Amino acid sequence: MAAGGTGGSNKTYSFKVVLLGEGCVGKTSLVLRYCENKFNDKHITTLQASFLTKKLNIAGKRVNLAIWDTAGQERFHALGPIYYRDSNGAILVYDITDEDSFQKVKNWVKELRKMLGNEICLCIVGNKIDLEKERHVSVEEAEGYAESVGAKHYHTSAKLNKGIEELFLDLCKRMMETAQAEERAKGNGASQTATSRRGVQIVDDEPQAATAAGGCCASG
Amino acid sequence: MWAEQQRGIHVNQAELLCKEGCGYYGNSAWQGYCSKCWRERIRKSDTERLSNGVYSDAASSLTFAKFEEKKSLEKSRRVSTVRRFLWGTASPPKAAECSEGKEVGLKPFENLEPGDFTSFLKLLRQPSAQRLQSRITAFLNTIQAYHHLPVEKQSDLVQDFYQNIASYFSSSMPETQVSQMMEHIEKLIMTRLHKWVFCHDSCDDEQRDLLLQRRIKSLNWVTPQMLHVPFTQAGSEVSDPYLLAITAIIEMDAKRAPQDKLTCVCKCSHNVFQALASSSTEPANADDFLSALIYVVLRANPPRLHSNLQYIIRFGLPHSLMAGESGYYFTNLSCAVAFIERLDGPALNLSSEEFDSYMQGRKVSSQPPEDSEGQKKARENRKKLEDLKNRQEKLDQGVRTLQDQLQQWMQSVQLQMDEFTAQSALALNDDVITQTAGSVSDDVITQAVASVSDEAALVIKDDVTEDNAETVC
Repeated sequence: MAAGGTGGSNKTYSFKVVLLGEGCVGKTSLVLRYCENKFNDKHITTLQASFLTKKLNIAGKRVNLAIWDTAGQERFHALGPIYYRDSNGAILVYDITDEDSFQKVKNWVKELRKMLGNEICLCIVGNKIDLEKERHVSVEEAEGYAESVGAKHYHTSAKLNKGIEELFLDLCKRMMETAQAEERAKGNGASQTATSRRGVQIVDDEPQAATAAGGCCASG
Repeated sequence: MWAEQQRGIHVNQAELLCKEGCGYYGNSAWQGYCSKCWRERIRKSDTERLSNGVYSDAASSLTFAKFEEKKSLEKSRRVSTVRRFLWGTASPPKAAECSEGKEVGLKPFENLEPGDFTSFLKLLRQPSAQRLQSRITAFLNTIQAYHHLPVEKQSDLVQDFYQNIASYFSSSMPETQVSQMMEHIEKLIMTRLHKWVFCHDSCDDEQRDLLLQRRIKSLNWVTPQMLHVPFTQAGSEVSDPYLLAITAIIEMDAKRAPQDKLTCVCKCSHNVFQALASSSTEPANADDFLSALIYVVLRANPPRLHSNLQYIIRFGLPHSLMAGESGYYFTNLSCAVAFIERLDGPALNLSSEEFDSYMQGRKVSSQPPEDSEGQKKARENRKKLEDLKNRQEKLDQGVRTLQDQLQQWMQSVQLQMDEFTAQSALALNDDVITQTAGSVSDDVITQAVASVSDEAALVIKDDVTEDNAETVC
């Protein structure tokens, strides 16, 4: 499944990270804060916050991060699988002042695990901690849940620029580990292209079928 | 989503493994063996087969495009045979044996500017690149000879070719260079193969195109407001902010190489963002973008949309589809199509009854359709034209009556003259009187004629100025 990681140390890792979350939880602010270090700023240069890239250097290895915003409105819910297929990581954002948005995150986690198994690194993010006073999702509940599904939990504030850098750095490290483990399991990097292209071919398949086909990496 | 059942690979893990049981993955092209075991088997049977004349058979098939074969099983075996002739059994031994020649041949390509396809073609024609060129030609011939194979098989062949070529490049080129070269290769190959594999007979792409087209047509009542597209009727000079995006997406069908089609998708998306930016100061998020893209697709109803998407998926370079901006935009376009295909009332905040009545054309959207601006203009223009025509007619009529009047007047003057001469004839003996009368009548006539012509000129001038004013506005 991993589109990214290939062998040698001089290679560049490319990771696809999807951003999931209900509208108004601050997905856009979060990613704009990370990539442009701006919040509600007139001087934001980009026209859009739906596809952003970031280049990182982690432990001497180059990482290209592509962050895909996904349409979070309810009417687009069924389109989810088209977005998150082949992604290496997912950031699930909820608003700590909004219980419903956390419920939504739980649904997504279920769906992602069903579709992509354990190959995807999940991050659950409670955003807007600057509004601590109005908190409606308890820290214990959120962290407990994250642990129960094998995800990491983070607290962030796009407004105060808190916890965001850590979130992405941590996620990248985890994705690198996953990619490296996969390489080792495969024994060689030769089938990398084959795998990714199989992934592409499944593009129009039924979501249920995607799981079955996902593991296929013959040919090459 | 849009190809429910027939696509996709539904096999379990065990079936993927090599039939020899060596623990590696097998491949249907190698009849279920892994590359190593397959090579072992082939090496054994190869000698026999060559002597039996299969070689010449396969080779001659390249020249006869209409090569008929009945059993599909045999087909795939032959393809792999041909491929073995073209590629050898595996790349590693080959790479070692001719790596030096390769590096010399590929050197000139390293100085290529990104996107400079013409120079690429020039370099390819040079003798140093002959090896690469012959590989490409051989591959093109193979595909054309086997154009009746199911499109999925052809897609596999093309993708395998990309992989082979990529690994051939990567031995002597840096990574970025390889992807650049691959783009050129893709463009070269797919421009040639487009007519063979686009909307192939072996799949139902054509029907699905029609279905989608009809579906989009039946949804022509959907307004941007229903889709929650931020839409401002702001500028009067731009009737539709999404016009550029619509043009770009329609243009996609005219392109032949998958990457060019993808470029159209990107162009369309960028225009969508531009349009979104004009109605909001904040950077557009995915919800805005997708809604707008859906609207654009509905408005544009791009020709052969399904076929185009399938073509890009099947024959595009994997890396441009998987990652990067173009991949994101392509995914969104796929989402838009999926959304349109399953669009129902609740998605547009309508009850299902309302939705149905819209679909059956019983109800017309309360708001004027999006292109009312254009229609309004057209209506105004039509009215103006009619007005102009009326006035033209009036003018013509005026000219005619004026002419008549002039004629009448001339006649009356003539009459008066005659009378006068008759009277003067009576008084012939009084010379002085006659002379005076003659001069008087002359004066009267000149004056009268002058005044009439002045009048006519004035009328015509007046009308002309009005006409001019009309044209100017």
